[in-house]
Amino acid sequence: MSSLTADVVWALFNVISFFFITRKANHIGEWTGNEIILLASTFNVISGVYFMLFSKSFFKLAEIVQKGLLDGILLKPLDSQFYISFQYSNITKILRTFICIGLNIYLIQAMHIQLNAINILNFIILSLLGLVILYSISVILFSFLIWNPELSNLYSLIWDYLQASRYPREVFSDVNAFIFLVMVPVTFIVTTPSKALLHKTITGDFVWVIAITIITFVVARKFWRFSLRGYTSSSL
Amino acid sequence: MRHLHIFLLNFQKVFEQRSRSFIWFLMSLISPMLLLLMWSGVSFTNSNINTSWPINARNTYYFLLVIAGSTLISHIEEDVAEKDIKEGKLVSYLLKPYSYFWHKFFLEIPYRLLQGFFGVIIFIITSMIGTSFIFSSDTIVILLSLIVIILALFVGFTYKMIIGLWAFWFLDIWGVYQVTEVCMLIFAGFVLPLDLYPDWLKTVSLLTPFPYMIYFPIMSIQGKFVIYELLNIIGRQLLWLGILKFLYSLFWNKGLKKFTGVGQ
Repeated sequence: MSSLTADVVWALFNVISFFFITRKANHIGEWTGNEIILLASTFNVISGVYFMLFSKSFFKLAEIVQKGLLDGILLKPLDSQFYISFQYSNITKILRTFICIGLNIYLIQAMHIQLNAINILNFIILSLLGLVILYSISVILFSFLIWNPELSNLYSLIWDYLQASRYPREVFSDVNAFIFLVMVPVTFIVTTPSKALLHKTITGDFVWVIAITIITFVVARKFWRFSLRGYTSSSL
Repeated sequence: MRHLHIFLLNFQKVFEQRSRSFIWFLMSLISPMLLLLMWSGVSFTNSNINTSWPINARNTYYFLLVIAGSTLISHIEEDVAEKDIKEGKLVSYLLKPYSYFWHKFFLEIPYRLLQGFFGVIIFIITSMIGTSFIFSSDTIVILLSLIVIILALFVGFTYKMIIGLWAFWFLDIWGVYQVTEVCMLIFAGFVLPLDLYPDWLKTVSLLTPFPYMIYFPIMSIQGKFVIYELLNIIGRQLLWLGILKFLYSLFWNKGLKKFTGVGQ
């Protein structure tokens, strides 16, 4: 119950904090105040599914490696990345998604936007691709735990990093090339599905999202296997 | 003297786990930097904001937020709740001839110093590449601000200890952490300076201890308050410290009666 309350509170915080900021701002890049709030809300829609499916499994990874439990997983006749990713799930986390789908509908109506089936289909497809990007980036970063399971606080850091996807991509246009490269994959997770709802041009973005999804997924797969080579069993 | 030994021993441990500390620091860094980046792309509804909160004031606020978040906000609650109360390690502390509160305090300080040090380095590097910051140049204001900062550390630490002690009563304390964390983010000024909040929210924030942990120390060192106001802030911090210390003692004494340590 307390975990459920926390989810609702975080979802509200993600949206309300942007509400306070947008009170003072006309536009952020090409995004208006309501569009920014929609962006934050869409972030919660996608992250709710992510939390339901993967977050508990990733949270437990440090403990699994530290206690040598990964030995048993590697011996199973099942792909280790798949097993680790889906080992635990938490259905209650989906509440965040439902609350923010409701908020998205409200915002769409408030902005007098007419949605058709194609917009909604685009939103669903792009959100699913965003979820794969979110998952792949998490796998890449959590793989570091196999080398250093002491870094259990990596879980919170990764979550802070992924929060960057709530911000419009234009925010990162003036930063240096390295930060831009680190941030860009994350910004596609939420920005593009939101654009689909707002009738903004997404043709170019669609190609980018598919490319980033494939690249991050392949890199995550290879990086997971590479990190397993550094696993020295329960003697860690 | 024994507290100094605890501090020094833990300082070694903190350096052994410096990568872990660095990750905590990065967490304090990411959120303010994202907000700062966002403000740089904002076109304001009210052009007065650009005058009342110019770009160097924004830079100063969010960079000081990085240092304050790393130095003044303790992360002791999980340790107290999970390791000491749930796993029963509290037993060993109860047998020791010194205060649990102070023991934890001197265990925590090295983490705060190291993470604050990372923050100061980022601050220095940023100012070297040309970012301008606003600070008070008045010696008395600076001295009083240092008192505000030290008291903020104590207020924050005592508050987090109380949150940790809730594990005496709650089996699943994860949700409680998260809810209190969100309250802190809003009321302490992690999103925006309290002056930019709606009036009702600012009033509510000032009724909580959170602004005294982050917002007031940051604004004080920027020279936003005159001496009289700083003395007023110090008085309120002392009041909050008294209230929190009282609550800590209450929770500690009541909680200990519920605690059972079992061994073979």
